Amino acid sequence: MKVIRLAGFIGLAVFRNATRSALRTGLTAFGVLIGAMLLVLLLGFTTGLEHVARDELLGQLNLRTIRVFGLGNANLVDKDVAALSSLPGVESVFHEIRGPAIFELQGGLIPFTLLGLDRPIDQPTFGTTLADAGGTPNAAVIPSTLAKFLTESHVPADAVGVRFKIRPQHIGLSGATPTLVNDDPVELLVVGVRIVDDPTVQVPDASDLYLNLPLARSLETPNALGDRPYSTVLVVANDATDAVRLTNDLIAKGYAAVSLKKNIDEVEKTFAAIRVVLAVFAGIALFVGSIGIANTMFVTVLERTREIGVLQSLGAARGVIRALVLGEAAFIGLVGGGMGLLVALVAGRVGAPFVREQMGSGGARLPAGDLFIVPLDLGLGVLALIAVVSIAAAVLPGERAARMEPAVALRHE
Amino acid sequence: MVAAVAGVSLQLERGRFVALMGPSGSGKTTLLQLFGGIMRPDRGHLVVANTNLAVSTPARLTAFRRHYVGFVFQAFNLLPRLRVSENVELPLRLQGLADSVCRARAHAALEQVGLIGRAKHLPSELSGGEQQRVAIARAVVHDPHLLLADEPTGNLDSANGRVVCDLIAQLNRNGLTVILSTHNPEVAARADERVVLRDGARCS
Repeated sequence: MKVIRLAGFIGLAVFRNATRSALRTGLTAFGVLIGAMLLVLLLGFTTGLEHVARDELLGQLNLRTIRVFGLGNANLVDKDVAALSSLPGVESVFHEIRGPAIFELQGGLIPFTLLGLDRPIDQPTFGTTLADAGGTPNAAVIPSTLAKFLTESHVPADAVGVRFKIRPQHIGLSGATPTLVNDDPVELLVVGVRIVDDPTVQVPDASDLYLNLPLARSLETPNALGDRPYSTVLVVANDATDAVRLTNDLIAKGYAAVSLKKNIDEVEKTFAAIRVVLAVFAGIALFVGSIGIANTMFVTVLERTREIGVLQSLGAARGVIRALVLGEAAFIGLVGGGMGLLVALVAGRVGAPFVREQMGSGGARLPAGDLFIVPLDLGLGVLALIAVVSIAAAVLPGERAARMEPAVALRHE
Repeated sequence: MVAAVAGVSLQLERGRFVALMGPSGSGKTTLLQLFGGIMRPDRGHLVVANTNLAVSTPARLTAFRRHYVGFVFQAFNLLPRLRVSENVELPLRLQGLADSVCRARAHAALEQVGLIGRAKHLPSELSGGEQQRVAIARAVVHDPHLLLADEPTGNLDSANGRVVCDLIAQLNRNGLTVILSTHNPEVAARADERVVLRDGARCS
């Protein structure tokens, strides 16, 4: 209790002393502000970019999924898929047949990618999924960029229920890629429409036209061995840990495999390393600010030598004298750090669209999402670091003050 | 090494009022600082309020000052950023007493010196005489055994000097042991005993 009461007195004295030389305190705090602002801006943008990258990856598939593209130089065929299905840790397997194609549609040529699949897809904006279409063999979920051409109203929603014919065409694929070659027109029934032309929404596989797998297979020409290979096989592991293990095992066996969990782990490691490097650079600025605090406290202790002597004559212990100096340093640091954090939060918010524009120039489009994120623990962590650095900067002047001889201090002019 | 004080022998009963006199450099301040535990003697025997100051550690001397001694300085030495009431509360705050106790006792001490109406002012807003009265209030607020005053009227005009002197004499009449240093014979005349120092040694 006594310590708490003393702390209260020290707090009051620290505040009064720090505000006594407002200009000096303000200039010293400004040095800390610069360091804090840089630290928060750099870490905030790094965190934001990491979240955007992570969300982009997560938006495609979940963490239990492994994409397997082939075995050696060949695509996967049914016997390969059977082997994958029997691996320990595998919950289920889905198949995809993908191929670029150009469609003749109402006298024009529109490029799309046909994607035959048997896995669940997200509910389209209008209509239903392939699975919910009641097993209609020629059901298709089409992108809104195609749907606009199917109705006179050019409203994507009106395309649901429309039947249309396509003529998939071979566009010079290599032997390693499944081919979709069919001279006969194929009639499809639109059961669902996906909105893909909203620039603020990132849609995976935006130009894909989804078909049921059997239909896509029927359009596929068998290879030399009579197999109809798959473009990709999606292996769903029992859990995310199994996904990483399975991915490593498959790669060791010669499969071309990628798991999002592994990708995300790599992304997180990379961003963690980037954060450390950036934090070091920003930390240098903070260190310079702390030198300002050390200098200010040395001058302050010198100026207040007689006051220190008076406090000693009144019975202030060395710890109290020390606490007054360290407390004032922490106060200056936290004022500068707090202001730096606020400035960084505003600058980050205001600057994020500009950063997005700059990073997106040259044709690349950044996924949607906040580019500047400062989690609460980051903000509090920065303030805590500043408090520690400020106090550390004041250790020497604090010790000088605490160990003054009272008789000598009282004689100081 | 210069001996600021040497061969001074003094025995004092509780409640006495002693004036130290002598020219500048005679050792008056040094002697007061020795009695108050601000300095330690290099040789000799010094017991104040049952505390052997000659062998005490710095921490023990600090605690001794906190509880047993009140200082009044020639230059007042109030802390400029604390209000009058906060300056007077200081010795009690350093003892870790509760807020209510500190405020109540400071109030009483300021009433005793007649400055309760200036409690919220800063020292810079007070006259020299008022500042010294506040310093006296600060020196006695914690009921010390001993009041040590180093030239308390040195920076005051004669009228204010008399007021301060009257206050110190009143405190002594109430039982407080007082040792003060002074050049002023009128001030010294209020004391029970006068000790004259010259070149660090006692003359009488």
